[in-house]
Amino acid sequence: MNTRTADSETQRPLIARCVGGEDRAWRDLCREYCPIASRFLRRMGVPPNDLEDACQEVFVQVFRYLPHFEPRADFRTWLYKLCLSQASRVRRRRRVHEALHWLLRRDSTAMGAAEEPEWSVSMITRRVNQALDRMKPMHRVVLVLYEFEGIEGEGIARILHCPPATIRRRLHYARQEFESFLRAGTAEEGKS
Amino acid sequence: MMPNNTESSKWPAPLRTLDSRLADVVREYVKDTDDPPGIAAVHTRVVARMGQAGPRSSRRLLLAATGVAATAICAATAFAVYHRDAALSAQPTHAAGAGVTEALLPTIPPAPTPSLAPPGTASIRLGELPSVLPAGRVDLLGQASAVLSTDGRASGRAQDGKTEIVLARGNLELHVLPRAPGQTFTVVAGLYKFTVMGTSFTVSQTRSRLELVVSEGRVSVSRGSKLLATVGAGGTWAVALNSVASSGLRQAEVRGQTREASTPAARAPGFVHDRECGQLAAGKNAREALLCYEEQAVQPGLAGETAQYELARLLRDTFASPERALAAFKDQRARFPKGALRTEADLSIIELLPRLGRHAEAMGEIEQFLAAHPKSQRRGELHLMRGNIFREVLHDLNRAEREYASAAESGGRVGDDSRFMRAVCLETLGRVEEAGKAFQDYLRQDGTAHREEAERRLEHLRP
Repeated sequence: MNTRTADSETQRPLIARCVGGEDRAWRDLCREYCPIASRFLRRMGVPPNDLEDACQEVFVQVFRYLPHFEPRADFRTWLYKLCLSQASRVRRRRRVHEALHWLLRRDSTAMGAAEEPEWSVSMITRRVNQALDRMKPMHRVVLVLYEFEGIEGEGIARILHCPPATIRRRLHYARQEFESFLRAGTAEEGKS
Repeated sequence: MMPNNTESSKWPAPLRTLDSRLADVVREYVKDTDDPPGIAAVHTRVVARMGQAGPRSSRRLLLAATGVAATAICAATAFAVYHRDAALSAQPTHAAGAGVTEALLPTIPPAPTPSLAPPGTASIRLGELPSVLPAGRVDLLGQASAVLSTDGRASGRAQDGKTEIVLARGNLELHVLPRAPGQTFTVVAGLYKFTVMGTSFTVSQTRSRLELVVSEGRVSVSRGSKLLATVGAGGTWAVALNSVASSGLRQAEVRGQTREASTPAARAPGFVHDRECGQLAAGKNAREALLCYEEQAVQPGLAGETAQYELARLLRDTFASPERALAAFKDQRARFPKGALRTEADLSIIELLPRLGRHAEAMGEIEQFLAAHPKSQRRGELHLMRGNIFREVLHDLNRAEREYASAAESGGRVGDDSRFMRAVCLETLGRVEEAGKAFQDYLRQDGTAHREEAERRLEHLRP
């Protein structure tokens, strides 16, 4: 039995209890999947300041649509899809905020919208985040899911609604892109 | 080469399972971001909010609330965008604590002041003697409403308009009432003190980490009499604590006259942040940066290891002090034998030893490194270095030639130098035929650094 099947089998009773309106089940679901969602959102570039709201919005979506969730499906796959939409919404919102701040001639960092608390992350994490930020979004998502989240290629294909061959190709280019940005970032830091 | 589309069933091995520097970086990143700073507080709050919102019988209520709120969201978002700066200095109220997303959820309605607590909340009036705060939601009458995590331990007392909460461990979320001038509200965690300036915020204390997340208003962070930071709405502040930090907490509780008053106080870490040290180093303030890294390097884990590594680099590159740098790298290796920067420390030590004339030690280090990392990308460089030591210091050209041969497969300058030096060794050893062939092979390659010299030597070898 693979991990995914095992996972979906253990999650089924929990989801049933949630749909049945059991208080505790809902908490359990949040407790179990909140770390996965927030970790993934962070790796997809949601800034720490927006993380809590983004995570909560994902769970609001879960809460709203859980009764319609197909029990045979993998909950994690669905959660990743919701997180991807949310991460993209956060990115859009940030762009709007930045544009507004530019129009109002305010310093966008005063809002703390996109500021990364550099002191709180290690040098390696900072460099990796910088490299990820420079990657194409379609490459980034494949790289994050495959390399950092440990999702298999077929699983990513299901999340992104793409043929596995496309995912494989994107992964190939994503790795190249990631490595080159990582090296470039390290070299720039070395020079400075 | 681009992968073949038809072979989609064959997936490459994930980077984290490989043995390369990139794989090390990926592994370190995964480890680091599995539990990123501040995430515990985020989880607690999301679970708490969703716990309030989710289970309650009707989803209709939520959907209705969402529908009604939808119109308001645009206005609220615009308001937040235009007036968020103003919120930094605004007088906080309980209702103002709700963000845009909270409007989507049926939250517990705020009670009228002075009590902020919803019905069923424990109420405590803090007095001169410390009172232990129960886990869960608690109303500190006339002061604040607090939510203490189930694993949390905290006590509080109030005297002469000064309220002090001592957080021993866990997560404490506070909504503090506006205070009259001269009245203070502080949270003490270890040797750190958070002074409230009318706000809503969360303090999380674990064995290894102390974290502050400010939702509204501002909170100042101090240690002893030194003001470390003032954190505004949306900001966070965190510090890594070492294993003795819990003793630091006990010291805080001594002030609260709790049972652990007899526990001896231990040294507290008092770290400054990475960014500050980096800024100091970047600003050419090397001495300050050195002190900063020294202070940080006391920490356990990756933070301490990174600081120690940066400290050693600073000594080597900026202070040009190889002896001190070597000692610092060795210290790093001794303290973090399985650390993420262990390889970097090993290689730095190997580079420094020959500069100090400690060639035998360098040879030993290289031997150990090659045994531990047989597939290291820097293997060629190390063979070249060993070849140079054999040739220049020990005058053992046979062994030098073997080392150069091992490094000759490497690319770039290392391979170039190694191939040339091997040919030179063969020439000096009198192995003329082999030397001639080696020089010819060397000259067949494009862009070689020692072309002229190789041509000259090859000319001499010809009968």
